[in-house]
Amino acid sequence: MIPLPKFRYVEPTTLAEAAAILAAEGEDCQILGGGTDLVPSMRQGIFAPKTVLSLQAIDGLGRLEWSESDGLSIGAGVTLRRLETDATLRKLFPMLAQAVSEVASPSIRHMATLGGNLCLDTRCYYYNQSEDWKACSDLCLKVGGEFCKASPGGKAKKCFAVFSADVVPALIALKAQVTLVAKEGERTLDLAAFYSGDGARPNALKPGEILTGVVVPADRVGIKGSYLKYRIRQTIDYPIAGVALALRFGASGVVSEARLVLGGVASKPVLVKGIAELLEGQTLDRARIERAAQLARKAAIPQANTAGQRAHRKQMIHEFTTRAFEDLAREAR
Amino acid sequence: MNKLNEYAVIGKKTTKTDAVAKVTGGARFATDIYLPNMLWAKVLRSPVPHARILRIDTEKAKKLDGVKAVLTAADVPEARYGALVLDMGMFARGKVRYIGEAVAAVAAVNEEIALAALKLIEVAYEPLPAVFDPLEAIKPGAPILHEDLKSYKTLFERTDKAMTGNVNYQAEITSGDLEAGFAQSDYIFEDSYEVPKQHPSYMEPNSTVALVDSDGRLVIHNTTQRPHINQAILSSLLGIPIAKIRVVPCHVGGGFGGKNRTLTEPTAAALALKTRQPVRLTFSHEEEFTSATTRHSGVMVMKTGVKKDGTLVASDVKLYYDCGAYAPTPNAVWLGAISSSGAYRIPHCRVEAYSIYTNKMMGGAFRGYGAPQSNFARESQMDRIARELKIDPIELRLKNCLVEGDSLHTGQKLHSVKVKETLLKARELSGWGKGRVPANRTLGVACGIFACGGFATSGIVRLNMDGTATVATGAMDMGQGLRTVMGQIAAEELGMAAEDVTVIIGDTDSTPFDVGIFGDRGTHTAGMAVQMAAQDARKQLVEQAAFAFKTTPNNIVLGGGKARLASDPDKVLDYKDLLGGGQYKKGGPIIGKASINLTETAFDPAIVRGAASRMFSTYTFATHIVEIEVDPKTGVVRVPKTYAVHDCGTVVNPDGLRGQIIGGLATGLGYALYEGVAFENGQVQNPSFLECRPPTAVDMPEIVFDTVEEFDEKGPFGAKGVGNVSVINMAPAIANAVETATGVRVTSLPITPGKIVQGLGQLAKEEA
Ligand SMILES: Cc1cc2nc3c(=O)[nH]c(=O)nc-3n(C[C@H](O)[C@H](O)[C@H](O)COP(=O)(O)OP(=O)(O)OC[C@H]3O[C@@H](n4cnc5c(N)ncnc54)[C@H](O)[C@@H]3O)c2cc1C
Repeated sequence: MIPLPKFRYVEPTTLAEAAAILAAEGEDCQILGGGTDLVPSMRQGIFAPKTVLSLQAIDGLGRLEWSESDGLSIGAGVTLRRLETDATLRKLFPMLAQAVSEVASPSIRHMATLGGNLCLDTRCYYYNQSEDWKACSDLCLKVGGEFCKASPGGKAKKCFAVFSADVVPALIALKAQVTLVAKEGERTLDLAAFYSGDGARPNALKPGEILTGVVVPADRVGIKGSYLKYRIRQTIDYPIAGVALALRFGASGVVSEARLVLGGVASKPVLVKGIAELLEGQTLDRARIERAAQLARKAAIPQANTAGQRAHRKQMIHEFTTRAFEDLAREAR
Repeated sequence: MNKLNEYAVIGKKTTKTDAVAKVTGGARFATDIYLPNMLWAKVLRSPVPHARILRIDTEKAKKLDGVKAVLTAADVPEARYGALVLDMGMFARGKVRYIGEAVAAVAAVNEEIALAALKLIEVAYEPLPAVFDPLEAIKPGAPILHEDLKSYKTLFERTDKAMTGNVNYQAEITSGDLEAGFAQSDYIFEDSYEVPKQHPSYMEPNSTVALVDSDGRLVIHNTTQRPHINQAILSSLLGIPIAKIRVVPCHVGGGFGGKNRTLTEPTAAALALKTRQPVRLTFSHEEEFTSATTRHSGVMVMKTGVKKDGTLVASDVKLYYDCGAYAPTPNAVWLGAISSSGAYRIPHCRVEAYSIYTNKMMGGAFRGYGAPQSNFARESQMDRIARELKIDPIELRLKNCLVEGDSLHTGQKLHSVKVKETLLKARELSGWGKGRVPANRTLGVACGIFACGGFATSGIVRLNMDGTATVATGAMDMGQGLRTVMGQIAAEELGMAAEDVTVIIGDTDSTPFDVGIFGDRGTHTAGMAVQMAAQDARKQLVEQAAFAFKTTPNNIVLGGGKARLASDPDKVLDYKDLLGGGQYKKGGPIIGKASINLTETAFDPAIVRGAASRMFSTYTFATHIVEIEVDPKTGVVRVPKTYAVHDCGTVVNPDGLRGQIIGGLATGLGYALYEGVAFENGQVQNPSFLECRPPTAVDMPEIVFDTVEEFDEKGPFGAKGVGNVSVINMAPAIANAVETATGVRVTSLPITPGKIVQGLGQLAKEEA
């Protein structure tokens, strides 16, 4: 076992206190949720924060509340295990429960938090390695090298590390809003806008900011959703292609709202463009579903930085999109 | 004949003796050992695949506070070791040959300082051209890894091709007349198959705590499958007499062949000798995946001649196994050659098997030991033949399978051959051809043969004053349950309850020699020595009882911990009364012993050249039928059910047998569908469980177990092994089922969804 580097551990009890510590320490301080990603990464030397700030003692980050006016509010500290077993959530947003239950394995979900999943770092064969491993050849872009080694030809000046959090595509499909708190105040944005698409800096979190939670708007109730995940083994593995589809059906099977989000095939969750235009006001038929699947396939840009052939992962997006539509169309009937 | 009904202990459900200790966390593993003044060792490893070492400067590291010793090749004797080819030293000397090779080691007061010290060691390398593909490595002009190969010591009879270029070990088997065989054939099938390296995925990393005791002896606490060989290797590497070394293995957190190695012991020992403080060296999991050993990757080229009716006539096989930069156990190549004709009678055969150096991590021993590769080729091709000839795959196998009294292509005449019965039983259980399988499922079959047992071992059985027995064997229990089985064997022979027998394993001070646990030799071979030792003790006990009863030995009956008179069954003495108080009435304390070698007959040199062993004691057989589901759109394969029928002789411990089969199938399943060490320019791309992907419990099929009745006269109470043969059928059986389901024949492992979909023509050209 590689020992953890030394660090100071702090456990503030209020958000204000946490924000103050973060403001003072800047990038030397890193937030700890369940630690299921941060701790292994620290062992590999990917992060070496001077201070590790745990959120677990902060009141309010463990909230999981439903109200018909404000929707479903989930604190960053809620564990994935609690989310997947919560009766209200399962009833109102089964796709979300489904996506959560696909993360890692039961033991990891007992530790893992929603905040950690939303802020999960992007992954890559060249990045998620020890320092010794990386020292064997040129460094990749994400750790200070010149090129993205996983990009086609290995010559891109942009990092293509892959976005691999399962819960996010489902939340974006449900139009979730995310709240970020810093010493200076708080801001709320669409979860979709939180992700940058740059593998090196995958999200909009600024130094000093804490993600405090998400809200799924109340009007999302009644949406039908499906999350399909492709991974090599039937548990533990990260997604190497994932599809979250949210549809609302109006009278006589007409689609009134449609959102399709892909995971595991780009440096951010991909909100597939053109889906609403293609389907809203239409009924689902074979041709339209095929058209949507083609749009999804085109939007996926998997790289050789995780398991699976790139071409096959694109094909999985096509196939899973088709299946997600067919499943929901069947449900709607 | 099976005599299961007559036994009191053999074949009965018996809880593993270490079950409670393991489940409650009490069992001590090597990484649980913390000693006063213990130092922590770390190894500096090569960052380049092939280079000359121009200079190593350790001065700065030595000066770091808390560092107690730094060693390189210059500080240790220039000795090399290996099972057949003595090619590897403790540290790289003059050259490094793979990324991850040990260059220097540090012992320091804690782990952090040891790691910091590594960073202060300066090594200047002059890069050399490297070669990563075994077929490239045997081409003229390929970079040579070991320039002085010819001068290395070897422990096998060298063929012309052995120890030249990048080929270290080589074997050739020639039986019958190959040309004539192909001339007689109606069809000839020629195929090439490819397999990656697979890591044994034991959970516990390699670990050693070494110390020099107050008598000046070197003591090793480690995790190993072969304590006595560790002892011998340490002696030869360090120049210390064997008697001055004690190896005391701890519980083993999985070995699967991977711990049939000596990796951490020499380095920890050299550092302990230097510092005179206890030294602990534990591999990180990354080191496990870059610097331990794997199953050999390789290419198998198989040409087979068949008659119209499916009779196999001729077979020409070439095995090119990639052993990496060193060849710690090229024996796997030899066993691959033996299993390459499958469980079949083929009159005209040739096998050429090569162990080839490349600038990659080492190939070593791993469950299946050379056979998963060659059996994947053989059993995949058998299904191709069946398909072309429109013969049912099981019928084709039944037509050609070995039967009692047949000889293998190596010339070894076989006994205890029930492969046909395993095929028949598996067919019956699975409902093959009966249309019982659900519509979305497809069956696939493979059978196989594996050499079982052999080499030297010994056992000691002591009877104690209270009527209990202490068994000592040098063989190791690495979780497979050997302790329990040894106890059962001794208890049965001595007429005692299993609880009254305690088994000591491994400790080289208190156990007699065993060559190591591999090749299905635990129950079969070490068990035979224990049985014979128990018989020896029993004979002495009978004499003791005859003296006490004032009768002749043939009038004594033993059983249930008691001796009685055959002529008067009411006359009874407990063992403890016979042995009581150390007041022996006749003779001294009872010690039974046995010392055997079950591989004594050499192969015929006209048939086999370059044999890595003498003839094996016996062979084990198995048929596996998988029930798979393939998604034709995504190529994803699931294996919900597997039928496993083994010819393993007498079943000594039914739960132990199941455990072995479950483990073997898990390894086989991972090999078939998920696993494989990936390399880029010689560097392992996926050095972790997460990325190398051994199957999880969720991926495992429901297993229907069965055995065929068999009694192997060479094994204890008729027992054979099951550990290796349980691994070798999954990959071909799944590949065969995939072809039946989709029409796509996958000839390389793992069988990924991408390969299937590509075969189905589903991937757009520009994307593929
Ligand atoms: C073997 C294994 C398999 C895995 N498989 C999957 C999988 O299949 N799918 C998947 O989605 N994930 C997977 N993961 C990753 C991880 O377990 C999950 O994403 C988990 O949800 C992370 O949550 P956490 O609370 O443990 O995060 P942490 O490890 O605590 O944090 C992760 C990152 O988020 C930051 N962070 C955490 N909370 C906040 C916050 N409130 N505000 C700002 N920043 C924050 C941390 O600083 C850190 O950079 C796997 C991990 C392992 C070890």
